[in-house]
Amino acid sequence: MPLDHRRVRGPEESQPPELWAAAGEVPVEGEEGEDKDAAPRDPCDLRPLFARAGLLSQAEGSAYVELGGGTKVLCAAWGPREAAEPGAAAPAGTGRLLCEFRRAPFAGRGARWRPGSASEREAEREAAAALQEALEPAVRLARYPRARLAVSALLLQDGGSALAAAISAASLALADAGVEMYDLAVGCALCRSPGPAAAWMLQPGEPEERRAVARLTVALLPALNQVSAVLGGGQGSSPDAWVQALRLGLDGCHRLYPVLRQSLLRAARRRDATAAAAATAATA
Amino acid sequence: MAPPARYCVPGERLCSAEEATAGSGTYTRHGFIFSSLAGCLEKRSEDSGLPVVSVVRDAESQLLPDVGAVVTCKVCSINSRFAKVHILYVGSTPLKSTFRGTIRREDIRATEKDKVEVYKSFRPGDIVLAKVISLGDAQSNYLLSTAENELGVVVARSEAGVQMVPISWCEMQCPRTHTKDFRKVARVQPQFLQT
Amino acid sequence: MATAFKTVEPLEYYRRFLKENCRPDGRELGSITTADGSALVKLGNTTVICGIKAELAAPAVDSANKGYIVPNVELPSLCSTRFRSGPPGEEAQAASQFIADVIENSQMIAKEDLCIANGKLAWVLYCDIICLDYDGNILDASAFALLAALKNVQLPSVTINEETGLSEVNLKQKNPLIIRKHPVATSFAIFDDTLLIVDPTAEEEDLATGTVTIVTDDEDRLCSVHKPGGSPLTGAKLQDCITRAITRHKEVKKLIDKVIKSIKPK
Repeated sequence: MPLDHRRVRGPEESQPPELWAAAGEVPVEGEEGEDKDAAPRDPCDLRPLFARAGLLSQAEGSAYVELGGGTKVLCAAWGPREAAEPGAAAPAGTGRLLCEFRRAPFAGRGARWRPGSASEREAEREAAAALQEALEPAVRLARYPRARLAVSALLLQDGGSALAAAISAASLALADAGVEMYDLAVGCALCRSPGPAAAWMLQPGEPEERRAVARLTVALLPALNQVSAVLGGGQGSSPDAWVQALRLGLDGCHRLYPVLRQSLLRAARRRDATAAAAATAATA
Repeated sequence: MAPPARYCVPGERLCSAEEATAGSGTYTRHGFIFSSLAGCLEKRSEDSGLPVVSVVRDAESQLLPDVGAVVTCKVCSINSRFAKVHILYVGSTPLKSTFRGTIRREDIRATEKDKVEVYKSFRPGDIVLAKVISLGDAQSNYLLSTAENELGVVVARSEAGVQMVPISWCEMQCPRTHTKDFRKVARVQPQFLQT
Repeated sequence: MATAFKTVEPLEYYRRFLKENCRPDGRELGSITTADGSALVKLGNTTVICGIKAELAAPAVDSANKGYIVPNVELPSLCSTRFRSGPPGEEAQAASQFIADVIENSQMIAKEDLCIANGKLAWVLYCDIICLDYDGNILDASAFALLAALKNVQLPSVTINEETGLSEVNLKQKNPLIIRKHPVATSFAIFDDTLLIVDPTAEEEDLATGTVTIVTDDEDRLCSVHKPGGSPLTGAKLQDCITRAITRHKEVKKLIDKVIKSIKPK
């Protein structure tokens, strides 16, 4: 592996302490054990979602989304800029949406994610592509010919359903930046535990996601009732099961939408209020 | 006072397309008008016909130079075929980031196009009013034109570093050294002279 | 008004704007549960998060009784348009190096404390500092975030089994790190060789003719003076900066102690 001279490097190899934990007491697994003992959760349960738009000073639009259970995503968006290379890739007459997805090295349980490593770059690229796929139909790109819009997501803590949270946060950030959009994009994740009778669960937590045999992330444009992205994979389910999962996921998106909408309305009101206050201060 | 403003988010259905016409910040689909911005809803009644529904943001919206728009730009380099400029303003709205544009030799003035010389029209650093004539193709960026009396150089500095005054449509003079310089001078319209 | 106030009474201004633990919903500091220690620091608009992950590794051959501290500052494109995505740029690299120097010079953590078994096993502390909102003075904020995050690191206890020679980690029993010094960085922007502004914003940094960063520890001693080029500064002015830095150190220390105390009982 080539050396990365742009970062401070540690030792060549290191292991997370969990690996060395004495047999029989592995608290991470213990946690799951408690989960199993507890009554199986309602698969339709949504985790509490906290969303706030317009909190960064430097970005034109920004949003923070947190899911109960510890998924934290921060997004920033920038309005139209001149495309770096004119006309590249974009069909004539429309703009381009550039998406970036970064994962903080400390965001995962267990071993630290090494920034710049091949696997990390691959994971980030994959998530960025998924983000772009989910957002592009929501943005009125035809309004921004020959320009590029940028969205950048940073995963601060992965507690499961991270991509879905990033989709919601990114669409909030774009709307907060004043980019013209057809609709918000709301993301929702599902997963299915092993076992023939296991049901799909909405918004899985990190342990559930790790154990799952099949995962699905859907993105919905709720006001238009159109699906912008379906990403998923896994083993051993009949097509019917997937159809059912999709329906469940879309239902989840519809239930999340009011929270996101409220946060955006609050941000718009706050922005107008501060602008009005600044105006009166200037005249006074 | 007006009633409390209604705020809306992208994708919110505002009204039927038969009740009003879609203004800025909205789009029409399936016979309904939807919001495409997060902002404040405005309904303005025209004297005749339907009211115009639009969604406005207090912060200036994300503007792009459009065909036909008059833009203010700064010349950054010239050669014998064209001048390269940075677009700074669209109308009277400042852009958040600059866009590059090109004024080709044949677009500098309307008459006697073959006699135009770029270096007798613009110099780097000049502030120029121009009109967008094309968004450009895969190779080029925005194409601009100054082929109107009202378009051309509005601010230019002489070699002595003093702002020059226009003395004809093709010449400017330095008030300190009284040297004359060639420019494609704009006849500035009074409405642009507010500030 | 605010700017005038700022030049007249920079310290007072600073104090007013120095906020920490400013999560909108008022949740506690160490909020990243996947990390062993974390902190979010906000100076004015500048927001920095630091997450620390502890891993185990064999100590380096030439320093068998020492662990590792690996600080990295990231300035992702998310925090400002001035940064491009991709590997760390110059400013991020310079900031990482500055933080590494502060750790080394101040001896805030003795690397010997991180050693578990001489020559066999030691802790590696990966300190990842990520800027979320870049409005200048990244060095102060990064150093502050690092210190606050280190203060709430809880390391599981590790013992070496005598019989098997293998190490055993007890994840239930956790110990805090020993922080020996509390270095605090104070940055000034220099205007026209004479005017000094503490805690410059990004705009002020761009306009300034130079910057200087002073790091002091608990005993009012200098740990580091970082002045990357720019306009020259007289000795008297530098002395003035140091005096102000020492005053501010006390304020910041008080604040950190208060925050740490507020999250301890849980």
